[in-house]
This record gives sequence, C-alpha cells and structure tokens, in this order.
Amino acid sequence: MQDASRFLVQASFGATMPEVQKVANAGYGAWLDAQFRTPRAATHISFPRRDYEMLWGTIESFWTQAVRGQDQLRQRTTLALYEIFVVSGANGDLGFYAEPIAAYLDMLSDNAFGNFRTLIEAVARSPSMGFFLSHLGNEKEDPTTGRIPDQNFAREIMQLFTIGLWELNADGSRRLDSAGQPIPTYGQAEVVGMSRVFTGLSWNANWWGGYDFEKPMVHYAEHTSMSEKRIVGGVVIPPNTSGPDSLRIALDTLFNHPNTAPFFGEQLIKRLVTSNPSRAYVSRVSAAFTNNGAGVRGDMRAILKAVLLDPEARDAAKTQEPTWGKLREPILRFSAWLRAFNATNSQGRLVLYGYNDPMNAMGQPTLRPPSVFNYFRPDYSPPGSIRTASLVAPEFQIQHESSSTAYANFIGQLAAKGFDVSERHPDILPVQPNYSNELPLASNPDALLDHLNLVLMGAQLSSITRTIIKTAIEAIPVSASDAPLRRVQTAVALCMISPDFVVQK
Amino acid sequence: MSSPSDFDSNDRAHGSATRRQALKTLGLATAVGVPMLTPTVATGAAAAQTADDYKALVCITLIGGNDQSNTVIPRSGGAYSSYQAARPTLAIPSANILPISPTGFSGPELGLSPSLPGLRTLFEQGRCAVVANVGTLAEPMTRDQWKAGSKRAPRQLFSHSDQYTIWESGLADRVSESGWLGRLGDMTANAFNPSSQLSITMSIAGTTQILAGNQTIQYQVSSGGVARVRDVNSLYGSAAGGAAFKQLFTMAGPNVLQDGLSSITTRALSNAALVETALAAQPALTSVFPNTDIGNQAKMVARMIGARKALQQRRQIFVIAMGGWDMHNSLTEEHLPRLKDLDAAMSALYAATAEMGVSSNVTQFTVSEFGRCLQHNGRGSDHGWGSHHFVVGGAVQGRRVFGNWPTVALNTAEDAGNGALVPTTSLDEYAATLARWFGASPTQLGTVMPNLSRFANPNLGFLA
Repeated sequence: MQDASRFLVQASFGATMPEVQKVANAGYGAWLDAQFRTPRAATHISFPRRDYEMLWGTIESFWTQAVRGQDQLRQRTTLALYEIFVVSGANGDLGFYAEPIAAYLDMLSDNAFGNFRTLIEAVARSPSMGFFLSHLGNEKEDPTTGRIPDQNFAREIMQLFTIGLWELNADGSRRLDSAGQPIPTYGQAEVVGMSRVFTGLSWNANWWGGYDFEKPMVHYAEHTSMSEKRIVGGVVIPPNTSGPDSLRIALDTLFNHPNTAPFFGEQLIKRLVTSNPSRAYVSRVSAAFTNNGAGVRGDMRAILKAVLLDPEARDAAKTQEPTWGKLREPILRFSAWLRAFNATNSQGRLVLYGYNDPMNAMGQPTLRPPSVFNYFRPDYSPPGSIRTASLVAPEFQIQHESSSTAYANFIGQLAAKGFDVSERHPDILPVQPNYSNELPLASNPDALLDHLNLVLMGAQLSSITRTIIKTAIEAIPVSASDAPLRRVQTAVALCMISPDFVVQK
Repeated sequence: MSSPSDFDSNDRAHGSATRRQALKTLGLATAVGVPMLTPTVATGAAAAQTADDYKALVCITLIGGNDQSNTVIPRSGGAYSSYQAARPTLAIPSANILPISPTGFSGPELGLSPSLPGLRTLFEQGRCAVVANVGTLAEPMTRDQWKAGSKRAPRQLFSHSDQYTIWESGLADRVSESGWLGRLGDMTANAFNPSSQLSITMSIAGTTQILAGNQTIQYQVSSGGVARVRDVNSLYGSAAGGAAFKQLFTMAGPNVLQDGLSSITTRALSNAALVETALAAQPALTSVFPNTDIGNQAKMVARMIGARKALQQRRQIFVIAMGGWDMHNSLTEEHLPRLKDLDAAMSALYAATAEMGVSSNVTQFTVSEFGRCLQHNGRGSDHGWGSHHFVVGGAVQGRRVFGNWPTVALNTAEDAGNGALVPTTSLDEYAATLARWFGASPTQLGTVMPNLSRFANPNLGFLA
C-alpha cells in the first residue's frame, strides 16, 4: 500500500484510497495498461461556457478532469506535456476565450499515449500553438518588400520541444568536441531554413480566418516558401518542395535526431519523478523512446512505462538518498488535497478560477505560465545547498519568500475552510473537503496519520514529522465538542506544510 | 570615487546646469512640453539634506526582447526614409515621433516612440540618457568578424533563454550560476549595509538570476506588499498547533531539496516581520503610480527605498520586470501600449524618488535579452542582438546618446543579418558603468564583470 501511494504521486494528480488499493492489487504494470485503455470522460472543448471570460471555464474544466478523471495517468501526462509544449493562456488573445487552451489540452490528451512523431506534428499544426508562437499565417519570404518568414516557432520547436541547444549523448549528457566544448545542435542558418518550413500554415477553413481551434492548420501553397531549406543534421529540403512535404521532412528529421530521445525523456522524468535522475535512468528511457521493444520509435506508452517503472523510480530505498525527489509544484499540492478529500462546492463544481485563482500567489497561475519557457526551466538551480551540490530543481524557480508565504497561508485556510473567497466574492461558492473518512480516526492520532500518509503524503511521513503532528493533535482535548473536526483539520494542515509533503520522494 | 558629499554637491550643480542648458538650447520648452522645473529644484535641495550616502539601482527587465527600432527612431530626412524603407509595415509616421535634442550628438535627428512622453521629458530635462546599440559580446567584434567567425561570439545568439541568461550572468562565453547584480551585491553589502538583516538585492519580479550572488541571496517581495505567515502563532486557536506549523514550515531534512526549501521558508518568516514593520512606518507617497503590473512593481521599489533607513540599507539593488516584448506578429498593435506602461512606471518612480529627496541617488536602467531585427516579417520583427537602453535618474548625464548610434538601414556595417545589430557597446561596459557608480571599486569591477578588460570603455560616462 505504501509503495502504491508513492507511485500515485508520480503517476496521478494525487492518491485516493480506492486508487491506492487498485494499484496495490493490480501491480504497477497492469495499472498502467488499464490506464492506457481508460477513455477520457469528456473533452475540454465541450465544457459548458458559463463565464464571460471563457478561459476561466477551461480552467474549471482542467481542474475537474485533473481531480475527478478516472484517466489519471492521461491527465497527469497531459500536464507534463503542457509544461514542455507550452501554450499559455496568459497571452491576451488566447486567454480571453475558452477554445484555444481547451482545444490544445484536448490535443495533448489525445496524443498522450500515442506516438511522439504524431504528437509533435499535432503540436506544430495546432492553431493555438500557431497563434502563440506566431507561425499561424506565417508568410513566405518576399524579396520585393524585404519580408522574411517569422522565426519564432522554427526556433522553439528545436530548442524547447525536440532537440535542445546542445548535442547530447543517449544518457542526456552533453557531447563534447575535441577541445572539450559542448557542440551546438544548430545555428542561425538552420533557424532560417526551418522558418521557411513553417510558412504557409493557417486556419483549416481558409487563410484569413475561421478561428476553429480544434482543426489542425493546413498549408496554403501561395503563402508557402518554395526556397531551399537547410535544416539540422545537414538535411537540405530542395527548392520547390511543397509545404506538407517540407513539414514532413523537417519533423522526421527532428523526430529521428539522436538528441530527441534523451532530451524529451529527461524532461518527462523531471516532470513526473525526480529532478536529478541518474544518467543510467535517462539512458533507459532514451532506449525506450528509440525502440519500444517491437521496433517502434517514439511510442509514448513505452516511454511512460520506462519513466514510471524504472528501478530507480520504484526503489523505495531511493527516498533515503539526499539528492532524490522533486519539489511538488503548487498545482500538484492543491490537487492532492482536492483528490484525497473529494472536495467540491455545493453545486458539485470545482470553481477555482479567475482573478481568485489561488495558484497566482504561489507562482503558478493555472494554465497561464508566463512564457513558452513554462513556469520554470528544466535546468534551473537555486542558489544555496542545491546549487552547491551541482543539482537542478526546476520548481524552485517559483518557490521564494512570497510564494512560500502564500502557500502557508493558503494551506492554513484550506484545511479548515476549503477554498473560500465568499467574503469578497459571494458568487463564488466555497470548495470544501469531505473529511468523512478521517473524522472517525480523530480520537486515534496514529491511525489518522497512517491514513493521511497513504492518501496525502505518498507514504513519506517521517517519524519526526509524525511526532510533531501527533503532539499538536493531542493538544486538542477529545472532550471538546468540535475536537474531531479540529484534530483532522490540524493534521491535514500540518501534513501539507511539512517538507515531507512539499518535496515529493 | 568622489566622497558622498562631493557627489551631492556635484550633482546639484550638474543638475542646474543641465536644466538651464536644456531650456536655453531648446528655447521651445512649451512646444515640446518640458514642464516647469521649480518643484524639482526644491526637492533637489532637500535631497542634499536627507540623502546621506545612499544609492540604489533599479533594473527594469523587458522580457522577450524590446524592438529598439521603434523605440528610439531617426525622425527626419534620409535617416527616416531608410528606417521606413526597411520596415514599411511597422514604421511609425514621422509626425508622431516625439523629438529629442541630445547634446554633443552628431547623428541624425532622433525621437522617441509616441508612447514615451515621460521619458522624453526626463531626457530633455537631463534626467534620462540613451545608451545605443548595447548587447552581449564575448569580445569586441565587427560584423565581418562575426560573419567570418574569427572572434568569439556569445553563446547561442538569438535564443531567448540563453541571451537572457547572458544579460543576467554578464558572461557571454561561459556558464555562470550567479548574476552580475548579485555579484555587485556580494561586493558591496558588507561595506554599505553592515547591520542589515535584509539582502541588498531585492526582486519584485520573482526569482531572477541577475540577482543571484555567490553569497547574496535575493529577497523576494510581491508588488502587493509583504504577507506574514498567519498560522505560526496559533493554528485554529491552538498555540501548540501554531508552534507545530512554524516548526514544520521551516524544518530542514536530510534531503537537499528539503534543505533548500527550509532556507527559503526560514527567510520568509524572519524577513516578513522586518519588512512589514519598516514599510508600515513610512508616510504614504503622494506620487501616483499607474495601476499596472509594472507600475505596482515600481511602487513597491519606491516604498522599499522609503524604508531604507529602517532596513539599515545604504545600498539597494532592485529588479522589476515586464513581459510580452516578443512581438513577432503583433508589433503594430502591442508595442505602443507596452511602451506606454513602461514610460508611465519609470516616470512615476522618478517622481517618487524626487518626492523622497533621493532622485540623484536612484538610477533606473533597462535591460532586455536582445533587440530585434530591423527587417520586418509583415506583422512584427524577429530576434535581434544589440539594442538601445534607457538610464534614468538625477545622477544620469542626461540628454545625451552614449555609445555609437547605428545607421538605421539594412546591410550596414553593423548588420548581422536581417538588420540585427552587432553591438558596438558591450553589456559588460554598460553594467560596469552602473556598478562603478553604485560603489564597486575598480578591482571589484573585475569580479562583477569578469570580461570587462576585453573592452575599451570600463566607464561609459553616463553617470556622474
């Protein structure tokens, strides 16, 4: 049960008692296979539009699926992919409407268990991405006016989505030249070549509009560059190659580039399991990307299995190693609570959005990262002991004094009152926990903490934390009329403020 | 370095001369909208009585790469025509450009974007200067040397994250985890702020590498102010619960991530009380800040400056930031409003420092990961390299254009391709000039900007 609880911190938006039992009964591999077969209950695009600023509706839909979906692995993978292939609702044009981000999340979810080659093409053809990184409606070069194609997406698909800036070994370490220097994967000439590839794409209906975010962009020959396109790896797309053919060659080249397996694999490990995987762990995930065992490259199921079933990910002894684990990002701290206690408002909805988004003050506005570089960079290393140890800790980029304080004050309120802004916004109903499984345990602090260790803590409640919390619980006399509730609230708040919770191991 | 008292008197004299000169040279103060200067003179005098030896740097980060070509613009004649020809869909009509009249400048007639009336006024008053074509360089290099690859180039030109990292680290040709303002903090914190509990470096914009020192750890505060951790004394009415909450919030563990977390939460707890008390003791500012994200960040800077004595800080380094400058396809719609927000925030911060009598002690400056190509792509412009930057404050040798003004046209001697500018002034020189004014000694400058000796001008002269 403890191992199952720990597994679910990596593979879902948080444990619940039924899910812990499912994993414990089925075993990890069978649970993953069952998850691969579990369909989505609904799309985000079909979520009812209830608000004038419709991104808030998509944010409600996101939380609803993340917290309540039976397809937990797909949901969790979708967030991981979203944080790699970023399209932000903070963009003014994309953020006012429901459709752009909803359709984009749907696309990621639909491709989460498919093939990386299909995924990257869906990303490249997504109108939301095209809007965000401006290759939607990107015109071919025009020598008369001196116009050149926009280079934005051309650069980021290489730098952030597939191969990265430096040539890599299969274990994710940088290749070095004879002078011991890292080797750039491309230069400005390749960006220019790639920028020509990403011309001529626009809305599915017609070049000028349609605003149908669900349908992939298509090529318009009259807007597509027919020039020669020199791209990475010495590949030259000859003049007069059509838009679709150029795109196919370019995406095949990126997909088959030796960097893509370790580059994507290491990022997925960092999103789900640990910030500082061993080189051997990255190698194994790389190998699964390269070949799923049946000769198929880019099989997302094989990659996810490699990430989550790796001996390093599953070995409980790793939790004792001082460099293991990752900071839980604020969205995952909140989702763990929402799932563990089946939280809801009185209408059965999870309205957690808008200007009241509690994630704002914690540095992680839901679906609104500040830029294509996500809320945090995969190579961020905070000053102090982490940097001194030459480790990275991406999520620390949004962990600072003010976000730490915001989290502490949020948790203090959350455990007792739920997410409740009704004093200032009477129209927003509080989202409250259901502690019916916990209240009967209130008179037995050890039993209560054993239970919370499984549903909330990923089985990482340390003996020192347990002692501190138990003392605080026992300070609330059982004779008091509200003692059970106060004891449960106290235990939940203290669990969630503890480093055993905030750092996922 | 001159002594603090010399500094103050020099600055006053300089300020008056500049103002007289400005009014005399222009002879058209009303026509270009230079406001009456009497209030500024009064606060300048007040500054001498209250400022002591105090200095602050305010770094304003324009994330995404500001388009320099539509920020400082040749406004007439052939220079305007070349600009207009290079970007017909993006060019600002010459009649809309706000004229400036830099002294000692032999280039074309220049103006600022119509969205920069505040900076234009400060420029004409001698409180603002333009530093032209600044950028990342590993060593001085011409366009031909860049094309030939005969000199070391900065790592990963034109890439947002990498060029941003270089602007933060101050090291164009190697990896560094520290930032140049953080290293400046390392050099100056003990000398100037020996009794301060609070870090000399403060970000209102979240975690930044530019403020990361080797010893200095940046303090982060939100523009809304400092929040206290509420439940550390009593959790749901229980003192024992509050004690446990406090203990767990700050508890370190054998795990290095838990240890890193603990150092942040411990600082959050101890600094919140200190800063909250110091801010609460300050009188409210009468200067009005725009209610924008950058305006609110600038206001928090002003409040922290106001609290400098309570915080026991004679030196302060701030970072505020503004995103959304990466206008590949939206320059025509978004650049003007974005610049307007920047202009209003910088102008308001200047006014607030004047109100507090420290306008000559606070220097604002802009940074951005790169400029943009002059050549257009229809709706916007792509990643470039060198860019123009603003420095604002009473100590600034204003109404001047420093560095080398580039010819605004394609295929010039500075054109790295598509009208991206090969910088003629290095970030290293720009940063060193600011660091020197702030109080770093010549030897310390080598730690702040390790590549400085490769460049000709360790002091560009834009600060007195």
